[in-house]
Amino acid sequence: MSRTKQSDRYIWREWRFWMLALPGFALAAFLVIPLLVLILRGITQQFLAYLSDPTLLSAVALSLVTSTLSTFLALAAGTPLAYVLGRVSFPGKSWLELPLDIPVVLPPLIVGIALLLTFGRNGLLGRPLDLLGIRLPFTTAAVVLAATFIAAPLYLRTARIGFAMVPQELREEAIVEGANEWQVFRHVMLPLSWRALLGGLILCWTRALGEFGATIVFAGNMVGRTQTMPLAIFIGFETNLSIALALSVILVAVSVLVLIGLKLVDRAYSTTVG
Amino acid sequence: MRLLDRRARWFALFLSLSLVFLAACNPVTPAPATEVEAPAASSTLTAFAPAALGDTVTQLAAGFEAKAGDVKVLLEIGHTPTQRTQIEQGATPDVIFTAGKTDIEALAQQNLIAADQVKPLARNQLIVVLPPGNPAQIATVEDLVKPGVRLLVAQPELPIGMATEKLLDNLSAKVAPDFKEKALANVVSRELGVKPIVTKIGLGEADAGVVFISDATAAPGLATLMLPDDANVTVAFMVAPLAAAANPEKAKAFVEYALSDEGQALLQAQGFLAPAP
Repeated sequence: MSRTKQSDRYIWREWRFWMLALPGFALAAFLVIPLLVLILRGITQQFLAYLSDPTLLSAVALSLVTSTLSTFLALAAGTPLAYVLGRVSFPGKSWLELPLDIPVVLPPLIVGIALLLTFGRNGLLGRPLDLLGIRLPFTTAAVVLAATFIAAPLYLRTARIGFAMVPQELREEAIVEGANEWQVFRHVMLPLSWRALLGGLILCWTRALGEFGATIVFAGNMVGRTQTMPLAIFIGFETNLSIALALSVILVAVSVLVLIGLKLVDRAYSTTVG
Repeated sequence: MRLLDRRARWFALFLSLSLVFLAACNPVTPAPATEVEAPAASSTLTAFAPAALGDTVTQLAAGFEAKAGDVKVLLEIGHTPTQRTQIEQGATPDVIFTAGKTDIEALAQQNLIAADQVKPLARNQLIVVLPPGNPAQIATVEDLVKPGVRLLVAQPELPIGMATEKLLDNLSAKVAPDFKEKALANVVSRELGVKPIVTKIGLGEADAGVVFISDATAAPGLATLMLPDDANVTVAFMVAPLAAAANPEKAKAFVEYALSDEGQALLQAQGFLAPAP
């Protein structure tokens, strides 16, 4: 016991420690320093003035609304699907899950092109929709769909793993004691997997908030209708770097707040339960 | 002793990795194309060009390579305002082609380009491209402001977008006082460049789009609507070698080639007009 402690205390004298630690420090610094630079450059005297710019405000509002809608779609449609995929196993299931994971690794630009070719005026689904008078490209609905395509698979994946982590025996016991599937979900599965679900939702929401590539291709760029924060940042980069920086600071701040919120929830949970 | 050797070797590895990391962080090389070192660096030219010149500048580069023999031209196709920012932040292409005069003149003012080296390359005018089948039945300029027409224009900060704004002002003066207002009400998206407009019109996603004549030439499948001469806007395309060109002789030779009869013939075949006399 005391031996381990001893070696722990003097671990920094060991060259192997530095071999592992130095690249780690370098990576951490690499990840943190550019964000600090962004924040320091972004918070200028005009920062508050930019915050009252109507174009910028409408981009912020549109981003918050559309990413929340996308997250809601992911929650409503993704939870049952994740539940089934997380609980049921059948041959070839992992092959079925593969296409649901592809959007996570796909470049968003490609997603935008695929959506445009599918839901565009002459697209496979766009043509029948057009006959019904529904045209999706260049609408706010297109922004929501693009963000949902990109972000919902993150929730789906996290929720699926969360459900799958609940021990099979607990579920079986509940069924033996006469619980139906809804009761199992409500009283066994949900209490044991809600942290995974919440984490998935937050990942989904922040990813939707940052969506750019699929949005610009499928939904276009129109102030108040389809110009989200990332689009406004891109345009700012071509015209006024300070506006782009101010918006970037807001996005970074939102992401940091969300992560802090997640940590607090996590801590409150572990103090009440464990 | 053995341990020391190993330690030294690891340290050397770590040091070299850190150097690679630092080199990658070096702000002097932001443009990816300039990082690519061809075996014989002196015979490589890097040129920045706007997407509106994309097809033509590729032909110009091929023509120049064939003529000069020992030179390879690397092209970076992007937005002129972005490329200006990149050069201001330290990117070092050898030659820059721009849409419009604003950005290249700003670079000349900062002495990143010698002012007397900035040359007019060509002129371009605007045209309206129409999707297959012309579903909104656009036959005249007035049809563009019919209610419900889905119009694509470029983001106003881009050279094409600035020209489009001016065009709408002109049409308000010549055709109807509320032309611009009605046209902007029909705009469904302000695209980030001419090529996305051409592509989306080609897919039939909108009813009409305002692009350069050369973009319409490059998309022969699309029907077009000519704009009235007295309202059309002329955009000057410019070219210059950079003051910091790694290979100033070759950079100048490339610019001269673009301005030669052969280069001008390539430009005019794509719908560009000769530069203003």
